[in-house]
Amino acid sequence: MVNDVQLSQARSVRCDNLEPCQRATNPRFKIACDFRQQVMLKHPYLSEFHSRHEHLHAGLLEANPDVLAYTPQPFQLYVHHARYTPDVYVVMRNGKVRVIEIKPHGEMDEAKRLAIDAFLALYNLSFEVMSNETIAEQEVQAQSWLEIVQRLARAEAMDTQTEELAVLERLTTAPALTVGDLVDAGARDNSYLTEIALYRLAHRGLVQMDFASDPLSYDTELSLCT
Amino acid sequence: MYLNWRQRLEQSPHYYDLTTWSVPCVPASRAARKAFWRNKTIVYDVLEGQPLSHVARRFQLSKGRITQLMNRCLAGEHSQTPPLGLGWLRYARCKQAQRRAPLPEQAKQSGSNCAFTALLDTHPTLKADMDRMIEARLKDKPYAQVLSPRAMFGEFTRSLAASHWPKTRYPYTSPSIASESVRRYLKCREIELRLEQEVSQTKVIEKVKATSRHARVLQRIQIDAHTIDLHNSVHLMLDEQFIPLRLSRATVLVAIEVETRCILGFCLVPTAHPNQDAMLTLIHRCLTPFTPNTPSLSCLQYAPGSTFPSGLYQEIPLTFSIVQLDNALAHYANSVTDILCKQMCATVHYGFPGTPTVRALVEGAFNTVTRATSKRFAATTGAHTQDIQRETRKNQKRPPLLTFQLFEEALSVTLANENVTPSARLGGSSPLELYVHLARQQMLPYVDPSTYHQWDPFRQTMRLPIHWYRHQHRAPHVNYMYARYHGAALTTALSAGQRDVQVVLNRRDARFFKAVSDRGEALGKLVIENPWRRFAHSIATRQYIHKQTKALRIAREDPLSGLMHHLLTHRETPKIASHLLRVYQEFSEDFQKPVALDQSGAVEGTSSNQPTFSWSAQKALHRSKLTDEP
Repeated sequence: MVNDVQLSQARSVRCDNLEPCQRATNPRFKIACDFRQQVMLKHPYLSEFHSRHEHLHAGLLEANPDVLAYTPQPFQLYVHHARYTPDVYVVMRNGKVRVIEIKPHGEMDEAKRLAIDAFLALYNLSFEVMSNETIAEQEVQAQSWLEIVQRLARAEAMDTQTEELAVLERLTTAPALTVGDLVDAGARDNSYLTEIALYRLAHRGLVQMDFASDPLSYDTELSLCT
Repeated sequence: MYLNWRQRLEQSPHYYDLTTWSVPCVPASRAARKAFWRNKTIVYDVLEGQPLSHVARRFQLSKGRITQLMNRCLAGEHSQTPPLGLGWLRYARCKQAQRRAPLPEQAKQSGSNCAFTALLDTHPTLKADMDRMIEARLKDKPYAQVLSPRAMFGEFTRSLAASHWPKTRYPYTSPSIASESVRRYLKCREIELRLEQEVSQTKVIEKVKATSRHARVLQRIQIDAHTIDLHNSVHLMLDEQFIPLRLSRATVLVAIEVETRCILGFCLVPTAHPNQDAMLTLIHRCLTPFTPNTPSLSCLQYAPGSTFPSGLYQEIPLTFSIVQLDNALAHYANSVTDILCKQMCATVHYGFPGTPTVRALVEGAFNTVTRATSKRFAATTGAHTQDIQRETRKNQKRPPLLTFQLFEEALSVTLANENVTPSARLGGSSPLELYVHLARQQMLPYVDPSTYHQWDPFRQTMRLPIHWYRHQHRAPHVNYMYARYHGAALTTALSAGQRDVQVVLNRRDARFFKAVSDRGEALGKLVIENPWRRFAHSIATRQYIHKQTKALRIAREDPLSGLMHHLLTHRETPKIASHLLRVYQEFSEDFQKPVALDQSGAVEGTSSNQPTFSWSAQKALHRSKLTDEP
């Protein structure tokens, strides 16, 4: 329920359209910020990121099987007559929608945060402020997933249904496997479809790849998700 | 709280290990060196647990002297780091001098030792005011003053006056009003604050370095462009005549792999402002297998095994993960992001503005380029007319001895040889050796050959509507960039019920399109209308012609020759000469085909009123006989 205080806070926010559609970055801002571009899977367009942490966060969203889709820079709000664009719009598999702002130390102007929170709550959207430091703690995992996304995007047209079943079968029979057991380091072309199948299974959340300390390599441990 | 040496060891037991101590340089003089080693041995023995009396007896010193030495090394305020090894040096000042007496007064003079430091500690705002003035200058604030001792002294006196500092107290008791102390403070503090500022600026670089902990080969690629202030010449073969041209600045673009410092490729363009086509050429060269041509000069030779990684593509296919670029406008072009992000699925990282050190490796490669090639000739941009490094007026009148092709060959040899030169930074191995070694060890992204060969930076795909004026009994056509394209493929597309057609074009040769059906089947070739068919030309050239038709008075009957004629007329200007070379390069399909402008009957309506270019052999071939080059 939204009380009167929240309603008055929400009135200070205005929005033309809440449909999530990546807003093109202003050319001047592209030069001013740490701008990055990459084709992602859960946002299947050329995604634009304004900082390293936003980019890493996208990698973490790709790794999370509970995330169905996301949109960077989804819409523009006017908070106290000032323009404001949230960093990510995340759609979860259970139907919930999160609007996330990524800030150093998770610090944001409190009045602004409350106003946006109250406004988005009217539309059943939750607003979160995430700290750069939280994302940086999972840097290895995020970078590994950004690399997997690149590999999967390159192999978008490949059909790997048979290989996926074979990988699942091998993991069922021998639970403690590494990537090197499935991918032939000497002849990568022979096991290329298996490699892509493995990444697709991991992306769907059926196989877990251990990136706790080391990035993607032949020694990365695999296990079936329970 | 003050700690003596024993208390310090109790609080910080790691000081028992002498290897953790900061050690100063061993003094040069014999006597000082002798004292240094003696003191060090004494400290070592004490830390080993030997009684002070034993140590004192061994070195014929008193116990008090040993304690004094230990205090010199370890004692001090608990919040401060002790002097440690500095205490072994004779006469070295280990403690910051402090004034204990009150500041001198007119009525009670007490000397001015350490009075300035005491003044800064006593006065509530003086230090902050002076620091603010320095910081303003370092941060380039609009109200910042020039950092001169005079300006700082003015601020010093203003701050004192603002706080109603008594005129009978220091610094007014000294004849110079502490002007020398102010000057020294300015010099020291400026360096300190500048260093602090640099440290905060290098945070970005440290972030990048921190991420390289788990780096693998081909994960990060740095690309940048460098303008070369070197005039060189080119000899165009046009209508069977040699045309010598003097070219001004050129730009070299280099791509380098970060982990192994291996140069992936380079591209030399005859302009100071490279555009997206130059970037695409560089990417194309990185992906195309490198085959070294035999250099025209015997002194230029590729070292054994020298190549670019594209030469090893069958074993190690080149895949980019993160491409680091600067904020040049050409890097933001859609064609560049299209090949890098959409086709190669890489990440493009533009970085913060004004931070070239983030891409330090590629800047280092430019140092190699300038050192080995461009800086060995007389400068063309002397700072003043009497500059001794400047090219003489006599030589300025003629095309330089160095030709553009020769310069490109020299660059190719220099950069390819750099790849096989062992480097101490790489543990004595060469960049290419390390590249191959790591590529075999690490799990690089694999790309199947069919996908790899599809990566074409110059390929552009688009949908165009089909126009068909049936009532005029004309064939269907598509419009693109002010020209019509015809072909049987359009009839096929129309018969299949399509109202528009997908076409694939080569940016370097926009004369032909490949038409593709909605199902992805090849429909055939579309050819441009007649006046544009004579020479291969890029989209950029056609756009330039259409924009400049009126200004340059280019004949519409044969615009490509018209542009060439215009450029030839004004070829004395180095900028126009560079443009001429670029256009010639396009028309001759990278110097592969001869270019003949006045080809009678080749084109209907070839302009007869254009000036005919004829060159006397003496004029055209002076300093230009390629066969006579040393």
